[in-house]
Amino acid sequence: MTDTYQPDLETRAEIERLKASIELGEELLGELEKLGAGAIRQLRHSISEQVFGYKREGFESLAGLVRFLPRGYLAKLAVSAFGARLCGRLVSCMNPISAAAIAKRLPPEFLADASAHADPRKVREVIRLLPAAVVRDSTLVLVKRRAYGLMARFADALSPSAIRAIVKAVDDDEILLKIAFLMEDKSQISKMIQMIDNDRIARIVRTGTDKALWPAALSVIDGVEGELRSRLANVMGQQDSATLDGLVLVAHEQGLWPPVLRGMAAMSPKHYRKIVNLPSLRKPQLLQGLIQCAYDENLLEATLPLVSYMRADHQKLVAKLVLEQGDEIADATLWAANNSGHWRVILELAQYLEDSERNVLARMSIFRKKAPLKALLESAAESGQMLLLLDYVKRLDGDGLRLMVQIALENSGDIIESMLSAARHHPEGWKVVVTAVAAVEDQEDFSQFREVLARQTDEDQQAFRKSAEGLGFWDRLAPSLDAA
Amino acid sequence: MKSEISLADLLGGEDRTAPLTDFLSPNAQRELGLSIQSYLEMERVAVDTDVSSSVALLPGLLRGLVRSRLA
Repeated sequence: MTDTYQPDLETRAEIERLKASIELGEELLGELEKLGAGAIRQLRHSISEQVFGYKREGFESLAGLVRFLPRGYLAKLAVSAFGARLCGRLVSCMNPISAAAIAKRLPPEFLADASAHADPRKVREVIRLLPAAVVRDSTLVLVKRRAYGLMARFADALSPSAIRAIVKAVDDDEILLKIAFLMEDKSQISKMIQMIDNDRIARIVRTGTDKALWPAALSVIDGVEGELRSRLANVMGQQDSATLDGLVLVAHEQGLWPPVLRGMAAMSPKHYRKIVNLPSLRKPQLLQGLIQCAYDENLLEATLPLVSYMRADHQKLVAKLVLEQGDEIADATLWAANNSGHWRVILELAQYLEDSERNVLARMSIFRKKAPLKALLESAAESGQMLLLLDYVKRLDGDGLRLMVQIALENSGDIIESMLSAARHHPEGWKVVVTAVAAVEDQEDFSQFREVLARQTDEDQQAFRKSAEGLGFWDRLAPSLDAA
Repeated sequence: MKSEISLADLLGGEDRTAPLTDFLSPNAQRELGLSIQSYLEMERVAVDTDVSSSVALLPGLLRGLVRSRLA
């Protein structure tokens, strides 16, 4: 991520909406961005209330009186005398059925003008009651004026038929994306997308893959949920490497990793390999930003599975960067692996660490807790990573070793048996196993270990004893093992 | 030079300004206040101007109604 503060997508959209009303200097803008979307939205709504509150009683009184006039006559007066601003205010105070009946008699240009002065909270019902063709024609006027914010303001009030008519009439997907980006009610985006055919949706997302439009495309993908998000995220995943490289750079430069990571979590894993091995994702500074963001935004669980699809040199870089970013992030990554059942990913990364880095990892507090340590041991046994595990076991302190042996002896000692098998092939294998067993204090644990050791070949039993003698543990272990 | 009005007065109460007055610097609050003040004044002047224009164009009975309610 770049050094300057980068607001999230919703905050950016709120700033855009606010800028449509009031001027914001650079300094004020910078401070407002840090308040976040909720506070800016509250400010915008308060301003809006003041605007529409001006002479509201007068407009309400007038609206109550003019409803007795013939609608055709009122439509004529709207254009010839009242004008767009007063009509916008009046319609906000009128009965929606009467207002819609008058509005459909008005020219599209006039309706487009009036929409800028109508209270969005009051005229949704009026818009819903208008014929789709009337809404479409007024929208086309606003499209010509590039009034994206205004269109977005009323988009959540559109009827299904109006949505279809507009999507059909507006061929420029960039415009649809910009409107969607500024829509306040994101739940409406889901409803709208469900009414648009797959080909058009794919085309809209592809349009969003232009560098300048990635934020809008990400906003749309992030604004929907479930199957719909997967559908859009997969369109994103289908793009070529050059396009996706652009996405990565935009995510980095503009602080947009959260929606990218959420999008990737929703897409088919078949796209992962292409994305995680993009050239831009090999830059350490960029990866650091991604890791920090995954931590800050609580997205480590969603991010970890992606690591498995990285090439070895890339995994090596990630492993080192996670540790370099401090114990807090490393610890959170281990917990994320535990909580999401991804210890195998940690084992993949752990193999690339240097001696001193392995010491740091083995010191993490998570390895003093039974449930995560057990899950790690089981994962190592299942994935044939016992040799690697032995290398980490030797770095555990006494408490860690005791807990590890206790867990490894559960279920008839399947895990300790795997460790004994691995010990044959590791230069320090027997030494590690002996040191671990020597840390045991519970007589019952010795008893279980003796049973497991007895099941091993004479050669292995001798190797264990020889190593214990070499380490000076045999005199202490022998009585316990015999007594057990 | 505009006289400064507080954000609370502009936005209709202190309950609407809490995050702004708590977290924005005094300079930013002043700039925001002036910006909102300009916008609201512009909107109000535009409404008043449009009311005056429409009164002149409306037929007799309606002219009286609009004048009594909005002018």
